[in-house]
Amino acid sequence: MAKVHPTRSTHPPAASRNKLLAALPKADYARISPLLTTVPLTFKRILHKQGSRIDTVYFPNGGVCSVTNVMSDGRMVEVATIGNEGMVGITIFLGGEIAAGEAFVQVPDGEALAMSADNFRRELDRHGPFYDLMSRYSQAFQALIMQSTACNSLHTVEERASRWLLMTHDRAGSDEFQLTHEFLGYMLGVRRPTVSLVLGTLDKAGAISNGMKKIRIVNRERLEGTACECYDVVRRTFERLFPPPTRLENCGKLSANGQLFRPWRFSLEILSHDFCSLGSGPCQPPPGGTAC
Amino acid sequence: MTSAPSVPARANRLLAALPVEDYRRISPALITRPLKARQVLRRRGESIKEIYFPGRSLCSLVLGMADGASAEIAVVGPEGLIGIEAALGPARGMSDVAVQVAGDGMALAMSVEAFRRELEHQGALYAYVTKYAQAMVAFLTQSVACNGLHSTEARACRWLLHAQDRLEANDLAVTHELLSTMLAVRRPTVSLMITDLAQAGIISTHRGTIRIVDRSALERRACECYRIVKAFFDAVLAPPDSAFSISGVPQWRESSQPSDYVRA
Repeated sequence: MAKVHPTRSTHPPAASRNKLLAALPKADYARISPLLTTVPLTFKRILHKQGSRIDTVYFPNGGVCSVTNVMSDGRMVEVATIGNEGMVGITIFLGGEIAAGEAFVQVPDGEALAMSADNFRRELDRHGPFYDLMSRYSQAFQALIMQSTACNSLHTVEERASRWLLMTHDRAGSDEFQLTHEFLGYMLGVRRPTVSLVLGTLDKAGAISNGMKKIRIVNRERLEGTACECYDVVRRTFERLFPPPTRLENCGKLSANGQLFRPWRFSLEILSHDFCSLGSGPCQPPPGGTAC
Repeated sequence: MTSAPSVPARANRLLAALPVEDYRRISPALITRPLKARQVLRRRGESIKEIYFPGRSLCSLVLGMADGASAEIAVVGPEGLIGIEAALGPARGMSDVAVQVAGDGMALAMSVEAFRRELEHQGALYAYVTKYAQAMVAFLTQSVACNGLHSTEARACRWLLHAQDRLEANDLAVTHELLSTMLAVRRPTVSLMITDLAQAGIISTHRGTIRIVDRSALERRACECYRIVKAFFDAVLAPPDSAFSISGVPQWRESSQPSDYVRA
């Protein structure tokens, strides 16, 4: 992290681990950080209750949060998985106030930075880099749920379970995480025996080690082989919207003053060519920066 | 100066609800576009050049997979617009969009530039588009769960209700094949189910059309997802401070018990 973001040491240490906040220019982060409070992400802590007003949005520094849709009979399916690449409460970006799903902590790890919904709206109203980031995230989030809608009507439980394990593995920060079959059943909207069957198959195939209340990812490539393409489609969408730091680093994306190269145009046309590392268009250095 | 272009009938409910001055501002930018059944309006990843405000019709957002399988992820008709992505940022389509039932066969279209200029006014259209984007996210959120949990029959009933709301007719030009594509289930399954619903006197079928005979029975057979999603779409045009203005989320959700997963 430090070599990619040389200026990061001036930030409170907690901030750097949420990738959205870490991507903010220094001045914007300095303005926003007093508005953030630290909230522990304890197992199954409910961040937003389905149908109630969102007062606080969360930027996880680690761990995995789930947004699920709960039906009136108590059955549910996971709608989205959120880790330190994102935030919980993007509905506010769209102008909504009510949580359409239930958001809770699925894999505890450290804490989240919390911001009141009012402060969040005020920051959006500036239409600066913060707005730009949230706009990207809302696109990525929408792509995720669109993909999951199709996925749930087309793909097998094994494909979906593998996809879910990969998404959780990406965010969990360790190869082993707490998971009961019953819980995975809730996430996928299938019965527990079905989950046990599928996890047994994945275990035999050497993809995972299926323990009591715990899962260890043994062979990711195998798991990628059994997952549906939806995993990759969503991952690529996130990569396109948020190029990973290593790619920036390899491309020598540091400007003269040591700041991350950040040629954001604060217009709506933000998707395709903002970073020259993505292949098209000449490098446009920021004011005071140098081209790579 | 030429005279103002004639203003086509505003069959799209968002356009119809605009205050006179807002409509007057955008009407010069509106062009009439025909909609034909099975016409593909846009492919995923294509740049969005025009925003469509469909009239009485039924369009689908569809995601295709590498193996050629595809599933409908949302429907759009006169209650909404096609190209909401352009309001979120990029001008690239996030799904395929196809006309399923042409209805009165007409949409009003507007260039993406004119659309964004209008949004910058933050007038009535901006407010509708914002709420419509929320409704669309609610639709998708609900459908993720619905597709994982609910029976084909419940989903088919939900789909027919959404279709009827958009086509504003009892006779829907919906074939078994179209319904099977929309629900991503095999055609024989759809045919069996249609027969069941027809025997129960809820629908009847006549040469490529499905007639809704008993709507309230259809609502009872549909999953709750229909009602929840409809409330979000109704909220788009609801005046501020009305019962729908906050969310349209049914009240039982507020008081629902801690969910079962907490025990798992």
